[in-house]
Amino acid sequence: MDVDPSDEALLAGFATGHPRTAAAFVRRFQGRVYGLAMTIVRQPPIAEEVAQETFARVYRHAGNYDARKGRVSTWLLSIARNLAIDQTRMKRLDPVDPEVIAAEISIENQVPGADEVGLQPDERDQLRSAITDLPDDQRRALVLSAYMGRTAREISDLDDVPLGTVKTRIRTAMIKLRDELEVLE
Amino acid sequence: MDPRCQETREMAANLALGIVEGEERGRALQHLAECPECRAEVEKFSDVADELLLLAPHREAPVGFESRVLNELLPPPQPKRRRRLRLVLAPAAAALAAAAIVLAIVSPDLRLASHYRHTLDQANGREFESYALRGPGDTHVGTVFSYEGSPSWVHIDVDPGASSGLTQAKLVTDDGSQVPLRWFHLDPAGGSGGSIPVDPHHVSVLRLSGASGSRTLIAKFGD
Repeated sequence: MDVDPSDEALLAGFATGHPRTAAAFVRRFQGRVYGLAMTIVRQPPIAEEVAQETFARVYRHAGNYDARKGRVSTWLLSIARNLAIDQTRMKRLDPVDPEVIAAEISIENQVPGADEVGLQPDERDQLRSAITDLPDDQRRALVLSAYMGRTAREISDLDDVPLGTVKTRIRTAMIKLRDELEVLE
Repeated sequence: MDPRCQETREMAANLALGIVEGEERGRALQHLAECPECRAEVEKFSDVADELLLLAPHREAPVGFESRVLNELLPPPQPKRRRRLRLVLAPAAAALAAAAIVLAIVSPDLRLASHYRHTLDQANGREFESYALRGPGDTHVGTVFSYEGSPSWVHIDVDPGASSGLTQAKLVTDDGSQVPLRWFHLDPAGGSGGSIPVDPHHVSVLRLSGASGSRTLIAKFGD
């Protein structure tokens, strides 16, 4: 039976600069990394810059990856998210409407990794439904924090609502999604 | 409930999203370092935060993206070594020249090893290893990567000129047991990988061979 190398095995090859495994690693993750960067920065040249820098950081800091703390894909996407948020701040990009992002993430169009150990596609659909079902103010606060890196205080200033209210909205939304994930497990 | 636990749990979701700032964050991190229950609570929310990022739409990367990344990051291929060297030198100079030649021959491996050691140092030396795959006459014909984890993996990469006819892969462990790798099948590019049922640290040799067992390539783990 043919078995694709695990994400971790490809990361190991990428970290050592082995050309063929490095190419396989980039090929496996480039669509996800570029997709997330586009979701946040909205401009293809900047998204490409973010995606390229994400792989450069991964190459330089592969030794910091700790499989006990999470999957390769989520580690990679966290790096991409932070870089994309930095770019939106540095380049003062126009803020994206959180509802646009919420709509995009609720559409099923994923390409799962070879040994994706997270949710199955139908479980991910249920998570999407749970996000869609959130009250508007909770969904907005969640997207602003999870995708756009806004702190609770920034959201409070942006939406002109008390800080405590923002924290409660985010917490309530996250509890609903956590409960959804626990049901799926 | 301990008031510090209560405070930390109330902000667990926001901590997982990385949006708690200043003193509040400092207090929470200090408490998390000593409270496994609160840590477990934050980890549950971290799983949610991870899944949220995985929902972002997959998009086709721009044409040539892969090449641009690899060209920027990977060292250029080493020029091919001359196969024969004619040395007419005094004995001492010849010894120095021989040392220099050995260094030149192994330097790509040394660079790789150095890069690896850096990676391993940061990863407590547990996760990644690579070994030379050698053929007849001890020629370098590929690389074997091992990863220690759950599960542990090896990825085998055979140079195109040496890959034909290889149909079997087998691990030999330190106690002499032989573990056939049934998933082994080289793809057209000479690669094959899969999980292994033993700790890579207990493997002494990986052996590739043809159906008749006539051609054998060997990677010595620990080399």
